[in-house]
Amino acid sequence: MKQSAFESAHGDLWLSFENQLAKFEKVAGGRSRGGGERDQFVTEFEQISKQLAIAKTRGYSLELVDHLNELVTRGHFVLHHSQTSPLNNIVTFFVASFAHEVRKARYFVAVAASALLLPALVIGAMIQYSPHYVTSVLSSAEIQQIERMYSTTQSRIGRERSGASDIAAFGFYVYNNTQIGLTVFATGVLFCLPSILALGFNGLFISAIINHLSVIGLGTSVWSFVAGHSALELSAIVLSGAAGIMLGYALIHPGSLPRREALRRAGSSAVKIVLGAAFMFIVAAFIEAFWSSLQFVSPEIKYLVGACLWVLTLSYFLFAGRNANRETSSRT
Amino acid sequence: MQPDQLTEHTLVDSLLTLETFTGVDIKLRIAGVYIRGIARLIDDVLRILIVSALTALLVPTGVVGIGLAAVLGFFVWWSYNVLFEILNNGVTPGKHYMGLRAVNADGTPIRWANSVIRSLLLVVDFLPVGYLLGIITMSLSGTQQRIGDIVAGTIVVYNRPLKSRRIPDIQRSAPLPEHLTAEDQLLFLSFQERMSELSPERAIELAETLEPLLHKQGQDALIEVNAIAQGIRIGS
Repeated sequence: MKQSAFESAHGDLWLSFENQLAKFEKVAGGRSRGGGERDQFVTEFEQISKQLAIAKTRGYSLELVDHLNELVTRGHFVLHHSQTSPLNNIVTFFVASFAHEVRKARYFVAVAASALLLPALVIGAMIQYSPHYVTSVLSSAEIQQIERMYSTTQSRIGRERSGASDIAAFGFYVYNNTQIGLTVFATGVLFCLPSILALGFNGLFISAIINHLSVIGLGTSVWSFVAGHSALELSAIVLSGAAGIMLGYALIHPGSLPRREALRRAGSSAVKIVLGAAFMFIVAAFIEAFWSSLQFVSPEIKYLVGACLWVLTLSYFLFAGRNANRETSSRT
Repeated sequence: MQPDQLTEHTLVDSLLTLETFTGVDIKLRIAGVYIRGIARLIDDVLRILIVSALTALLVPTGVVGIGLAAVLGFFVWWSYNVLFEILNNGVTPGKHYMGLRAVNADGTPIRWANSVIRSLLLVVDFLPVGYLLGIITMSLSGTQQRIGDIVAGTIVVYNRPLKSRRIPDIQRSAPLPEHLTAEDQLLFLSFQERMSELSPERAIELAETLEPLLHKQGQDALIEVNAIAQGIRIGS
């Protein structure tokens, strides 16, 4: 069949498909299109695919092949649009798949937690043994500032507060902490090192501050402040780091997969963990700004609330979604 | 030699061949460092402008404003790419302006998880400065993927508008000269289809390169080439 005969035989089909494409592309991939229209679209797509193959083998002109290629590419794109609602995804995510992904990544979480805890324990023990070791981590100006922040004469305690309103503090915590978490994750792809270092330094500084304040007698002030948000914030930084280490590890040790594929697989798990962690950072910032800094709540109640949040957080990761069907959690 | 094999083996281009579920190969045009760099620049400038505008509007209103500016600025900065890519089928304003689209490496629409990964890893691709790491990775990857693309399994392709096909309306058709291979015939067809993009002088100049075969010059050569092309298209 000569090209012009081929074109006049199928030209109408191409035109109608083009019009349908325009419609489907407008409504974000035809999510809301009815079944009949979609069936017709699929049939036409199959016909045009066939015609593209024919056009190539018969050596029809490049422009015709190109045009058909474009039609099939667009159709391919439209046909693969997700049919599920994003809201549904968010609910299943928090009910089941977040905790499930964290459990699957437990070895990475363990590594990340050790990267945070080991330096923290070491510097803590050193400061308890001999308080002057705090100067190996913090400068004297920083020490003075921290002592001022947590001194019992302050009406409100916490970092960077100086009488600012709770909302401003909330904004700062969200911006600062979540940003750190996301960066710790992303840079982990560079062979894990940035994530591990960031976790280690975080552990070092947090522990140095808390132990120093305990040693000089401000223990109640600092412990009652951090108790409330500690569960979510520390878990979130550990999870961000763990997700980053997952990426780096896929690059270092891809196993039997090509590195590219290993990275892609690690990425699809890691992104769920880091998104969950980002959400935890935001909740932690909320607690830190509006609860932890309240002076009139007695330390005992703050310890109790903090302990409850630790139990809740840990049981969520241990048990949430254990019975959910595996199909939803393994879907990307 | 089949025309298809010919184009696969003799041309150096940025086409990526994929197979659809109907078993036919499609070709996607992958965007390179320069075009994507400009798109990135547009997006980053827009992000900075939005965050600056928020800061300028909210911060003078007091401490509450500072808090709101920090939260909103944070969300705009980190969700800009994701929101556009999910709600607009992989097209951010910068990509829209440059005619690009982010898609999965198999040509299917990008999902939220892919978009989040490639957007978060912009931080790494930026390192040490000016997206240097991203540029190096793109150049080495063969499919122009930066680190974020590799981890997310995505590529950025040209998103060309469908242009209606215009074929010059030529009545006369001439018989084929002898010994024209399939490849040569394809050249005639392509020339005819591309003629509207050429200046008349250039079209004549190209047609005249066939003088040894056709023994024609000037406008006559052009008419003859068109007639032969028409002969190939509709049969003579």
